Amino acid sequence: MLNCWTSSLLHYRHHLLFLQMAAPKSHRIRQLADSSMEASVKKPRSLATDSASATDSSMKDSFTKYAEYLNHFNDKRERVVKASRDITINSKKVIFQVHRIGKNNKDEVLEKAEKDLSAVRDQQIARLVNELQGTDFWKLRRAYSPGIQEFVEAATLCKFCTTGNLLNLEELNAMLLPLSDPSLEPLQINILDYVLGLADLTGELMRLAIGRISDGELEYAQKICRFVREIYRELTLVAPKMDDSSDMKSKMDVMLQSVMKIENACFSVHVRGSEYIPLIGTNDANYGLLGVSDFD
Amino acid sequence: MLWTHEVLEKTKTQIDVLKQLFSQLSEIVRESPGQYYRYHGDWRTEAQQVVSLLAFMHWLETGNLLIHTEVEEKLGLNAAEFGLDVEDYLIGICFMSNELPRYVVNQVTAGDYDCPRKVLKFLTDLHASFRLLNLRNDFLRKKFDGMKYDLRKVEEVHYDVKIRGLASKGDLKGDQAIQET
Repeated sequence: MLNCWTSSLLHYRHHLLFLQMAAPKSHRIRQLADSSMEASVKKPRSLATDSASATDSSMKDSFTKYAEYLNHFNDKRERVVKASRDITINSKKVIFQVHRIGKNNKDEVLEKAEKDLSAVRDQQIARLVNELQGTDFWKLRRAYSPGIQEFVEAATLCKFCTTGNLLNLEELNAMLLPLSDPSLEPLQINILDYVLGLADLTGELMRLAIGRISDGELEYAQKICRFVREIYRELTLVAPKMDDSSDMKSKMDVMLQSVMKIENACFSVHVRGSEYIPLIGTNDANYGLLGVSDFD
Repeated sequence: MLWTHEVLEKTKTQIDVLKQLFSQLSEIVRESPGQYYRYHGDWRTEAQQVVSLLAFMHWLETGNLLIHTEVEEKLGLNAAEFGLDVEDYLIGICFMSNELPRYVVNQVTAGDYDCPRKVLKFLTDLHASFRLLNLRNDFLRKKFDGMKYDLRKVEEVHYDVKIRGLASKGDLKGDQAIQET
């Protein structure tokens, strides 16, 4: 894909070069051909040239301004995209850290996850705030939205694992407030990115629930199941009211899949697992018999 | 060309309507301050069409390009709270360029043989000005790439008129003006 773009760009540049090289030559030829008539029409011609170059340069002037504006803005956008990608990468790392959770190392794992999450906020998000300089929050939203969504996902996942509650938008934004220069308008996560981040959260919770079931922590899995089902239920009511719901619609479908996966897994252990209760939580548990090997 | 004036007068009455509609729109957007770009997508195509219309009219009247701030002025927009996005303006100008080949063809058919020369000069300058911009791979880039086909079409019409000696005698001076820019 990228190759195809660059090659077409190269082709385009080549094309332009060709045009620019060709142009003066043809002018010269025509000038030669017309030179015999030059004397007779000299005066009106110079008049015409004057007015022509005047309009031309004023047009060029205004386009120079537009070029400046576009250059400045596109550079800013690129920097914001880079910052956003760094946020994504590091938030992903936090999420993976949470998934390293086991039966006996919860506090330790979550402590590290929280520490990493603060690092993402203090370094990567701070950089984004710095690039945005308190402006263009909505105009550049598409450039930083993926990173912010990933951050919402990581933060809410951490919060759920430590407290079992949903981190709401106000709390999240309060976390970001100290990053901004007090003289500028602070970066606040908008409601759309928050909701889209929550939609992604259910996918991570699904993985977590399956992992917990494999580890024999049925109750924890059921807690996740109730939580995810609630998120899905509430978001069903929110989704149609969103500005640009096409993104959200596909996420709702994926979310339903996640909810059902957890429900089916819980069902499987509930039904078949009852025969193996002594096995659950012991070291010689035969997980294959729990019928959840399909879900991961 | 006699009737151009009349047509323009009639069209101008519509500008007030547009002005009115834009003020309604900015009223609505003002309800959520700082969120202009949140809802930008909802009106940008229409704004581009309006730019195209205004720029075309302005060119017919004066022979010059209507610049960004002039559009805002004509629509009574206050740049601080509801301005015209520069990219929308530029896309609108590209839309205007798309109209020019058709305009030239019909003007020649109606007997105005000097028209292709004027349009060609204008479009050549405009295309040269657009080349000053560093564009991303977006819609504006696509429209700019399309502009060269408008230019070619106008060149062809100009050529057809010229080769058949239909252009008026005083035309020569104009041709040279094009060469020297």
